[in-house]
Amino acid sequence: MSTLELLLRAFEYGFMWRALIVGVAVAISSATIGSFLVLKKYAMIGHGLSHVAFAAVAIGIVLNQSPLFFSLPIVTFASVIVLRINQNARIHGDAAIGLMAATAMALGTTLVSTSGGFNIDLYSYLFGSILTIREIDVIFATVFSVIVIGFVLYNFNTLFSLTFDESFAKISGVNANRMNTWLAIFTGITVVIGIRAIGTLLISALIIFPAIIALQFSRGFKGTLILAVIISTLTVIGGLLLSFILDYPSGSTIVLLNSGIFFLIYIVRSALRLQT
Amino acid sequence: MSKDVLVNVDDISVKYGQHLALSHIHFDINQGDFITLVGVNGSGKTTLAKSLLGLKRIASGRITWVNGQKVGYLPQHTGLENRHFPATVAEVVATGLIKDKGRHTWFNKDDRKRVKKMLKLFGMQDMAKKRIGNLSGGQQQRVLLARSMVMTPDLLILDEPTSALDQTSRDKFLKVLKKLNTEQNLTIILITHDVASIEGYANRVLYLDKHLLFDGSFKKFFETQPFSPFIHTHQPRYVKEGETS
Repeated sequence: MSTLELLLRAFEYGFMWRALIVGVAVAISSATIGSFLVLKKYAMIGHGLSHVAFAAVAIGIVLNQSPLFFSLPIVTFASVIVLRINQNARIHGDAAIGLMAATAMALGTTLVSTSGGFNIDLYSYLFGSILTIREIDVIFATVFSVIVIGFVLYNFNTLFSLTFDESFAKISGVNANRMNTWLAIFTGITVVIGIRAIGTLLISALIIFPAIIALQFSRGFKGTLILAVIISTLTVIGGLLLSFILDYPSGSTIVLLNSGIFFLIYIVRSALRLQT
Repeated sequence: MSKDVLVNVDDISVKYGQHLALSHIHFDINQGDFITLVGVNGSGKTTLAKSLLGLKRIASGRITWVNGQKVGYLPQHTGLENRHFPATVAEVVATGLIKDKGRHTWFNKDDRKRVKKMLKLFGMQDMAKKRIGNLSGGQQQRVLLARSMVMTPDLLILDEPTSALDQTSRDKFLKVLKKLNTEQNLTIILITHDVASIEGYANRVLYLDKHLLFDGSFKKFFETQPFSPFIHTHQPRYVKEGETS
């Protein structure tokens, strides 16, 4: 069967449509939230949270609960705590995130080993698997990504002002603490809705890469955000289809596609700069 | 309290932990004042500005806004450590509208017109779509000033705005401020180390060293010998509060 035939065949499967819907929902919310996180230098929060998500999923599996619903409050709560730690000048924020990530990873691994070790179910949560996406996951991802996107659109100017100059935003009447807390909550939600398609360990890349790629081109903030969403959506769709054709884990295919694009752009731009 | 008082600062003290940054500061800001706030490093100038802006909580005393309450602020550093931050000049100036428009509103055609008008006022109409990080230090200052002015503030506070500028840019910048002060009756507080360069622009000097040690005209400030070492060496000899006013 040719690659094109295989590609067309992908759309005949229900699981592929479910994966595409979840993927696009995750792509849009992670790119929007990610643009703010990267520019606020909070990108490492996403990385720390992905490890917390792994521990939360492991607890969910051990307790025989739905890992996603179980992860949602844990990851969201951890996100708020990490934000507070990051803002506390007395604590080295990046070191605290590193410690938390390692502790969460160790906890998750220990729990998994005591309950029979890594199985296919857990493996799919780690790196994403399109075959395991159920209808409830589609509803879960769609509803929460609509909430995340709604939050960003409703507060767009405030979030931009806060990201560009927090002091000025405060003078303008913005409650910076409250907005940062909401941003942390929605970061947590974004990480959780990305678990199914991208995987707990790779979702942070989808928060960072599209924003970083968009930053190579845009002059303005609105342009950066729109471009990040387009890049994220296209790479997720492309990555999902590639993972179907090549039979690779969906999360790693999407992340590799993103990193490939980023490094290609970086090399081309550096070469052009050297020429001029 | 006279009729044209904009803000009454009544016996405020401010602390950082146990450290007293400002002690029993008392003065009025009048409508149309162009005040220069001077003092050595650590004398509490920025703390006083932050207290007026509501960014720093006061330990005791009271700040009363008699008329208006909109404050524009030009920080000491432009906040543009990241030269690649993706923000156009127009986008940055538009954030000054949030105070007027509310936090949840999208900007409409009229708002965009206000931004355009403000950029024209500062001679930056051709730069609206440029990335702010690509502008010179002086141009960035003007963009941030336009951001504060677009909200039509009652009071504009500027923290060492000319410290990074060369003399030509500094004079140009101060002339813009003077114009806003005289033509639009804008009340201004300008924090600076270089008090001599502000003479001819500001009409009132506040000299601070945790306490308010002087409040008066430039003439009197220069006449008062205890302050002369400060002007040249930034090392003041302290005088008692009662002797200065």
